[in-house]
Amino acid sequence: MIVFKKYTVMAIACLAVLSSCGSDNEGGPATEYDRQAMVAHYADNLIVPAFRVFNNKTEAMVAAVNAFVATPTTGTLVTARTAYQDAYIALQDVSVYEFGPAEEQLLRANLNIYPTSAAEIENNVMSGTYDLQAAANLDTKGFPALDYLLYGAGSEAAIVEQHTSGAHAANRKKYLQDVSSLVHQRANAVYTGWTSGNYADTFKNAQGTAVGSAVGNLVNQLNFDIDVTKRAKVGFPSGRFSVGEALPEKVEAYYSQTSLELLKQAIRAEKATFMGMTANGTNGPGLDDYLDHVEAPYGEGMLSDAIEAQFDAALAAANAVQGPLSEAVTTQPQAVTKVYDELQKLIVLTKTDMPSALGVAINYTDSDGD
Amino acid sequence: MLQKLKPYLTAPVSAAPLAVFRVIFGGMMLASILRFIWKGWVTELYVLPKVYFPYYGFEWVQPLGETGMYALFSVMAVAALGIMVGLFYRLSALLFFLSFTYVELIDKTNYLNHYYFVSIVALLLVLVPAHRHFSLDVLRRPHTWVSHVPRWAVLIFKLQMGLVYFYAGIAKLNPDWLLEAMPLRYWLPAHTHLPLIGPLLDEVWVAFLFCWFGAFYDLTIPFFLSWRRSRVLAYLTVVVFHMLTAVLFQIGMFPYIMMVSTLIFFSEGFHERLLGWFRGVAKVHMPAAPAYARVGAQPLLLNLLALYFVVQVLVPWRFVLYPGPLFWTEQGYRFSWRVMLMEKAGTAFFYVRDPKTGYEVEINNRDYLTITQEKQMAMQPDMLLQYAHMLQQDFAARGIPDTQVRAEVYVSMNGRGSRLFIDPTVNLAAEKESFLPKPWILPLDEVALPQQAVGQK
Repeated sequence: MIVFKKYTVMAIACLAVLSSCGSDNEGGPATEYDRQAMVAHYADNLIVPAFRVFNNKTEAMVAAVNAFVATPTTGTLVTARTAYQDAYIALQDVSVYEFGPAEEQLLRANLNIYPTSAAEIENNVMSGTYDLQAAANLDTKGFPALDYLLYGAGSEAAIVEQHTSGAHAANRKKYLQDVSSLVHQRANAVYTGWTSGNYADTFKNAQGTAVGSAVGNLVNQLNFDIDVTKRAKVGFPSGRFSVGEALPEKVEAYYSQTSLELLKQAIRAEKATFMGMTANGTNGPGLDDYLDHVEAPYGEGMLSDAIEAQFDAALAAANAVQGPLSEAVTTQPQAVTKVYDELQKLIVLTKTDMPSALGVAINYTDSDGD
Repeated sequence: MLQKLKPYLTAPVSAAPLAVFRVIFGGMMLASILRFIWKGWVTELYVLPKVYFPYYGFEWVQPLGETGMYALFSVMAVAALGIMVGLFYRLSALLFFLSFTYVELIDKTNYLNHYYFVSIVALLLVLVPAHRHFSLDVLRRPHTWVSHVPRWAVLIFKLQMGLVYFYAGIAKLNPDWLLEAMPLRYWLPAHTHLPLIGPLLDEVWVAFLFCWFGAFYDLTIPFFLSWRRSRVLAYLTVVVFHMLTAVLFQIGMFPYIMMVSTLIFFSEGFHERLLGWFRGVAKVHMPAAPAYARVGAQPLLLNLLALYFVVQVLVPWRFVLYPGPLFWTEQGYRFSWRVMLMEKAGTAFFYVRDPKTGYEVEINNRDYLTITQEKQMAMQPDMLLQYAHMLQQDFAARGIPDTQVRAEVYVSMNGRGSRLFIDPTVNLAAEKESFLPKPWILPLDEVALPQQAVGQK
């Protein structure tokens, strides 16, 4: 017993010496960091507002589509197209948050599987019978399907013609309405899940960094979204996962040729999530501040700065591409490759360094560790 | 030397500690297996994955399909029950050892030191007459009852457990752990929401305290548990230490297994009183005359066990035969009681090139691997190599033979910024697995960050 006590005293003495050494170059223990305030900031000022906007934009889109269907003219078509583009942009802002209600609604799979299958859509339109909730119809609905329906025939006049005197015009109008209202249903279900469904409270109370915690969900889904951005938005169309040549028809929003704007918005949204930046530009407590709190280094500087700089580099690379992306993948392969490489470097930082520093497990299921 | 020790090793000691250990170990294993099945891990880890990462030399160990895997786990559970109650004990222990070890050998993704510990304890249990006291085998065949067993039968478990702790302690004597408080400095702040200790976990000095106390604990606890006068205090420390690890880290049953297994260090009297109390409850009487378990082929067994422990002592040192820092290369990392020492993570981009067309495609790892497999693969060289071979085979099966596979892998370790892990130009498909050092692992030098993406060709 006495020996044991002696050892304990010695160990504590060693420690005392050591910790005093440590504080010399660290400048004292880290300051308090209010994680709950950070998580509440994410829920109240980023996530819920983003889903509110998305809900409103899809609602407006449904109204515009209905107006177009009621009286198909170039005027109503232009309004519907604009509403669709606004809603598609708003989707980029929420797709980072695919957990909780958004995960239940399988937002990404139900709203944004591309390339869409024009042939299957035409089949559905022709037959007039289809089950858009069936797994087989994932590539005939959502925004990519709207993209085809509103832009596929080319000129505004051609689209209007499809919905007036074209074959199966009535079926086509109904299909367009069905697809757009399904998009809004999903958006609305997620928004109500966060608000009246009280998921915001569940999220705020999921403390720690384990699987299913608020921080764990944020970090993992942010990474997943960056990975999708790199692979699906840029990688597939530039032919990196297939053999050899570019595949322009694999871009997001192929028919409306807005891929590049959606890509940039996705990167901006991911950066805003990382920074805890609200839609009006207020920079609140975010993952970057959390990284600074644990004093995560990278090279000579801070990891948070390296990640922020890398977001900017990816965005700058995307800005350097002359749109549309479906043409750029063949005409400016170097510029597109640059975007891809910058996103790759970003993933290394957000998927390797960031979760390590925050003690977040890259995992979606519970398992034992060593 | 063994000759001189022989009288000491074979001297009769009370069979009670061994019987208690058997009951506890069997019970904990049964609970662990049921928990494993209940959590759905049999399906998740051994049915759903498309590919597996077997150990070098054990490539023949394959999963048995859904029915087969559940059957195997059922056998394992029944065998654990057999160990606990001491029924058909030797067969139960052997079946448990074989089934458990088979499952562990299927996929190194799931390697845990705890599982290795269970495997070798099960093997040791096969060798001892733990069923000849306080067991159903004794009720079945009363003449097999013994009051005493040879000392080595108890000693090997204390020695094995002592080695686990001591080597875990030695492994902690490294600069990252002692001077940087890594990785605890990163892990503890994730738990600041805990009651009582939560706020403390944000303090760097607490991480240092945990690190230094942890090393001191691991290195000394076998001795303090062995010494009668410090035993109670030492055991209290065991309970507190393992409870803390259970609260702070996701390590499943292991803390509880260690908490009850270390009871074997307690005195014969303690275990006899414990069993006496249970006998009182069950109204079973113990024979009055003492009996000593004679062990067949004892000299051979002793020599084999001596050899076994020599191997156990040497294996954790095999890393010195490899160049480069152990934590970085992980050559000689497993089977060495290195627990909780690293916060290591990697991201791996694989590229497969068809030499005929010259085209190179990037691989989406999730098309082949589970999240856990991808995570483990991305930071362990032998798994990177195995995965490269899987990719080559898959392409060959799809009509594209002789592909070249290279990987751009970034790994961060204990707070060092992520950097290139292996040579991204090496054709891994042409590299063979062996125990030789892997020359394509890049050195862990403090390179200037950030690095440039290597990218696709």
